[in-house]
Amino acid sequence: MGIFDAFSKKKEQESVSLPPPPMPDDEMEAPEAPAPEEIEPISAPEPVKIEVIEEDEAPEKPRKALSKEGPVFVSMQDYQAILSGVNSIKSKLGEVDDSFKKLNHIKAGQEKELEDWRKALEDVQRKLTYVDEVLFGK
Amino acid sequence: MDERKEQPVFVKLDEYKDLTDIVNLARDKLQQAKSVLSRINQLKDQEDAEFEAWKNELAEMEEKLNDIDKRLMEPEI
Repeated sequence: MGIFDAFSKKKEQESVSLPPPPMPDDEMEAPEAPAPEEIEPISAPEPVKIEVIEEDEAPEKPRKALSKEGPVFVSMQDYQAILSGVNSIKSKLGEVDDSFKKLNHIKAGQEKELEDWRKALEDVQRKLTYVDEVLFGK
Repeated sequence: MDERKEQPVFVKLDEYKDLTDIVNLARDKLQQAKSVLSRINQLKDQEDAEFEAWKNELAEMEEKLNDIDKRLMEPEI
């Protein structure tokens, strides 16, 4: 006797124990269908808008700062990200400092050019005054 | 297999309050720097407008000087 024999035997027992199906009863009356006026209109439910958010695109939940003053434990991943962020900011600050020095250098050069131009303008004004005197004898 | 590798590792931050204060201070300074940059941009726009006006005046002066030069060098008899 194999495994399948056991199943077939069980199936045979079940088929034997099943009650006979109910015969159609002519005396049974189906309930009358309600009149069209009695039927309350059923409004279709609003379609549910399902927003599929990819795991990578899921907005990061805002983290609330803890108010406690004692030590706080952060995960190694967060700690490494914080260190990386601090180093990145320090690097950016160095770049900003370089930009500031360059801007100062440009500004100093601009000041010198403006001063030279002011002196040249004064010189031209003196010469034009001389020409004016020569031409009109003032 | 060593099960300790599966456990999360945490780092203790003793001065958490100081750290958050410094981060907030840095954020404030960053906002101030953005405001200063915006004002400098406005000043630069004004400066550019002055330079453009200066350039136009120089062009007019050059035109008048050329006219004077021409009249002096090639006078109509």
